[in-house]
Amino acid sequence: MGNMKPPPTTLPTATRAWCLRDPLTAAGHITHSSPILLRTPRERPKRFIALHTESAETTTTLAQGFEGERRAADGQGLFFGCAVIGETRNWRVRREVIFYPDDLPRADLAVLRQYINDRTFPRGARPRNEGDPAPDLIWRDERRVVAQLLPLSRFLKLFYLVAHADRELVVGFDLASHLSRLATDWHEVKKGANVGAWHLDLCTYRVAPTGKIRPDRWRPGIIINRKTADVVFIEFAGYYRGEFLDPANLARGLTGRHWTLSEALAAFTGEVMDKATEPCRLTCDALDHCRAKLRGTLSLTGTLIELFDQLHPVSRGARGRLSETHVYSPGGLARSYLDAAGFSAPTVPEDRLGPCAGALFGPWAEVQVRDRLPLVHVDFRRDYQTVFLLQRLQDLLAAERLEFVDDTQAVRAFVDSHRRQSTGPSDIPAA
Amino acid sequence: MSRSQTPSDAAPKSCRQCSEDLPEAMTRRGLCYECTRVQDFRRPIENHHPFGRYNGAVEAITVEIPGNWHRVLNARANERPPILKRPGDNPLHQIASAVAALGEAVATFADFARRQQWPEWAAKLADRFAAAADSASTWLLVLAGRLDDRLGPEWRRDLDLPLWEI
Repeated sequence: MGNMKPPPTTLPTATRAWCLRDPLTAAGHITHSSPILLRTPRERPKRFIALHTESAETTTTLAQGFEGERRAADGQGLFFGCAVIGETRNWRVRREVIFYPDDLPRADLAVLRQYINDRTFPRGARPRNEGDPAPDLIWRDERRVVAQLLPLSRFLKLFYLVAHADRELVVGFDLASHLSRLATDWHEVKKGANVGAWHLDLCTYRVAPTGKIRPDRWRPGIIINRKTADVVFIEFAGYYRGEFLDPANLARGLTGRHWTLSEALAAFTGEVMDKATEPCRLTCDALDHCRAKLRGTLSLTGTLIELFDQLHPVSRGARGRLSETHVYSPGGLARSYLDAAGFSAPTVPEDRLGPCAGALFGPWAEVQVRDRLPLVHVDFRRDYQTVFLLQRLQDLLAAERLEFVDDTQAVRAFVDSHRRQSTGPSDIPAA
Repeated sequence: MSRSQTPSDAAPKSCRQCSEDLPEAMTRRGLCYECTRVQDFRRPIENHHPFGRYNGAVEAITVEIPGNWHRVLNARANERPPILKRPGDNPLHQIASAVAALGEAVATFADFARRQQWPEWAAKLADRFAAAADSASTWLLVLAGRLDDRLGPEWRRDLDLPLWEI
């Protein structure tokens, strides 16, 4: 009992925040205080690489009665996948790659080869002289698309060439899960801005003398940082962060709700997805379904980006500052609009962030129901708007920076006068 | 030839001197390709090999065209599949390569017509021809592959066909 700490004492101090208006430039434009939003995003890349993978294990593999029916799998490892490369101008596909793990059994590899042989034409005759190029393959139903069958190690070289060296757009519905299936090694990030995130090593090599596997230093890993259930930040670990676009994020940002691929396709493009086949058995149907999902993802991405450019002038496609790869919620869109109007987060001294957070009182009310119920936001007294106006919070938004000065006496006088005016001294006991 | 843009460059959009804004023609100096040639005391005109340089006969065929448009044509030619860049001695490959070159030239002509604000029908017509040429060259390559499979690599000699010449 001797170690009991005394109760914390409340210091009788108060502060007031003074808002400093943003100075206007000579041209009359408002200067932006936020360095993040000041950065103009790159133009939309001219090409894209979109991918979709199938994992070797699903929940049914472990279910009673299904054991041993499917191929033995290591967790959620890659079974096979499809990727397409094309142009963002019209979302036309130029090249399609079906890739598979380097250690895929011969029987499954034969299925893949048969699938490609049955559905493609060789574009040209076999080389007759040394140095003549071998003909490539084109799909019979899409003669402008070159088809390739590659092991994962070779596909990753192509992926890094397009996504990292050429800095093109990487697209995938639920992209984080597809990228994680390409990884050969992973670990938790221990320091830096992404502490707690997952670091995926896609390309590795074996050091000759020791036999240890090391990550490829020229092809940096991918960091997957899950902020909330639906918000996952994806970036390359090197100096170039990459352009990763998950159309699920963009759909959520535009509509404020969660969408599955089939729901989003039906709502935005009118396409209907076929029912899922057995993804754990490598069949022609499974390959067709995987390719159809990828094409659906592309169609959805094209439609969503077109909507984004048309509806939101802050989009980089409409000469705005917001990249479609950074849209995760309607709040992000609203923030970008505020930024475009000159309202951005003011600079706050770092030693004031803690006291400000401590002074925050946020009421919370919830009803726990295990279902999705229709919900109507009923703020019938316009509390938030009233508070926003009465507190003159727009001044805070428009401020370039916040300065904190010790103003205890004035705040005490204000509180005392407020008590006497509104409730009277008899209602509230004196401090 | 001046080095073209890489993705990491802060790409200048147009030439400082002549305001040319063809993306393929821009260089790191902030000048278009023709202006860099003039700055280096060279002619802005270059010899273009419309059918490539895969053998001596086609290499001898050249046309003088402005340097900027030469770069546009070369950029299009670089997107060809390898078998059209080096068609070897297979006549169908060679014809497909010539048809592809025709398509690229017509597509470039469509761009030129739009930039010069010529009547729209000229560009549209050129676009149609370019699409047809692309489809035809692909079909010829598929035919070459099929003939090779069905009749063997000596089908040209067996059918007693004449040599194809440009």
